[in-house]
Amino acid sequence: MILELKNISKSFTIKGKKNIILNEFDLTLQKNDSLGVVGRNGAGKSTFLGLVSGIIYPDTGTIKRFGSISWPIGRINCFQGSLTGKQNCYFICKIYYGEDKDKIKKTLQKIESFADIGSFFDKPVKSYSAGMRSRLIFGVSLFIKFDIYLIDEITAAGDQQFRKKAYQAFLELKESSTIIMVSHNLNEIKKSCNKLIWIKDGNPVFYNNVEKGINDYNNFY
Amino acid sequence: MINKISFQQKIKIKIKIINALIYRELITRISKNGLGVLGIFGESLFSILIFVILFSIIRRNTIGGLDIYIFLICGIVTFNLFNSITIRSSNGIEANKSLISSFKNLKPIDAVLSRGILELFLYFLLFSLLIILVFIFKEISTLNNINLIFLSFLNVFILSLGYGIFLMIICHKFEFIKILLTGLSRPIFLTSGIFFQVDSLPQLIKPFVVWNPLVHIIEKLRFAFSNDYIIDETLSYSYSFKFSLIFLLLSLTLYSLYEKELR
Repeated sequence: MILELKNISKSFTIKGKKNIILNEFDLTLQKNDSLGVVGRNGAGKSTFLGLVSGIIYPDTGTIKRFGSISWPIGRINCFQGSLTGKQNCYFICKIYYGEDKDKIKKTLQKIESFADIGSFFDKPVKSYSAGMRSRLIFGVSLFIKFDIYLIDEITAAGDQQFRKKAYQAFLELKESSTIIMVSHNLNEIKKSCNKLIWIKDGNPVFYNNVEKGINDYNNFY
Repeated sequence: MINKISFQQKIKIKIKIINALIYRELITRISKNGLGVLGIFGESLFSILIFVILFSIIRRNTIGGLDIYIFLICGIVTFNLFNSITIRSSNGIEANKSLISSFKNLKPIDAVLSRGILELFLYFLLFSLLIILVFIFKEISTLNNINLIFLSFLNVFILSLGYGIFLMIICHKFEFIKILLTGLSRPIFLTSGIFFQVDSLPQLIKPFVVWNPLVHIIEKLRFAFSNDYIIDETLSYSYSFKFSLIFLLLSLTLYSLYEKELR
């Protein structure tokens, strides 16, 4: 087992109205499982990733993580505009690799090559286009080693060519890690995942059969 | 296992995070101010320059037997260290919001701690450089007790952390406090003894000053440079250390109660 959620409830109160995202939810994932998460906009998919990653606390229940876990890739914007792309990536590497300069150097090389933003890697991030930012943040997320990767809309970043590249990298990652991915692209989930959660009105429905889950989801809307 | 890591591993993770945050903070400040490393010390150097000009006009060379430059450096650098840590801490969550909401292991308190450590290092460096310059150019070398210098910086660091964590929590819960911060810091500034010697104050005024632990720290720091410098009998390290430690303990308790809300 790599992840266990027991009796998890989470709600937000917006303008006095309680919005239940998860209600007494249980989930167990094994190593190398790939979990797809679907639901309409605002259903709570990103909140679910936040809960799993530990940056959002549940109202009740416990989450046990039996391995290292990434931040929700694709949803973070932790770059400091006045720093260069390289300095920003160096900072994130330092959080995970400490003073291991060799590991940091190798990771930076991989990120630079993957992001493919040329000399901009050494320029302040505030001078980047939105696409360049996405490429870099995706790169840094992929090349820091975790046991569980949380991916929020893998195909939303960059241009067509980059999306292909990102998807390829994701498939490689899937071979050795557990993946939890949020996506509106149901074909992508069908191809990549072996388990599915459909977050619906605060009551997530879990499927061991991804195809059946996607059919149910499609038929419902 | 993330949820069953040992205390030692937790410390290792914390050190990595603090280290990374210090790197980010330092590089950000250097790249932002346009003057490089010099820009970091700008505020303190400017304050010292103003006071030096002011005291040159009134032609004072010493206060309480202590060289005027050393007197001023002790007061201004110490107060600016305190002020810098607390002001930056009050804004710690806002300034690091994207990081705190992205990285699970990065807690709001890490922002305060890393900024505090960086400020301590930078201001101690500035203090040492200025004192060395005074020693060289004024051809004096009065050093009474070097341990008192380290103790003073340690004390002001503990005090600033306690106050900084407290401010971080209340500024997050009650936004309007940020607007009042400058006003709230005035009494601390005026009573911290930056430009006066407590012993020379009238008895009537002393009770309005000695409540402030900073004045105890600054006066002891001055005493570290000259045995002749008279410390008022109401001042003691015992008071400032106890005050700082109790304040830090209370702030940490408050923090542990509100940590989840601060994310």
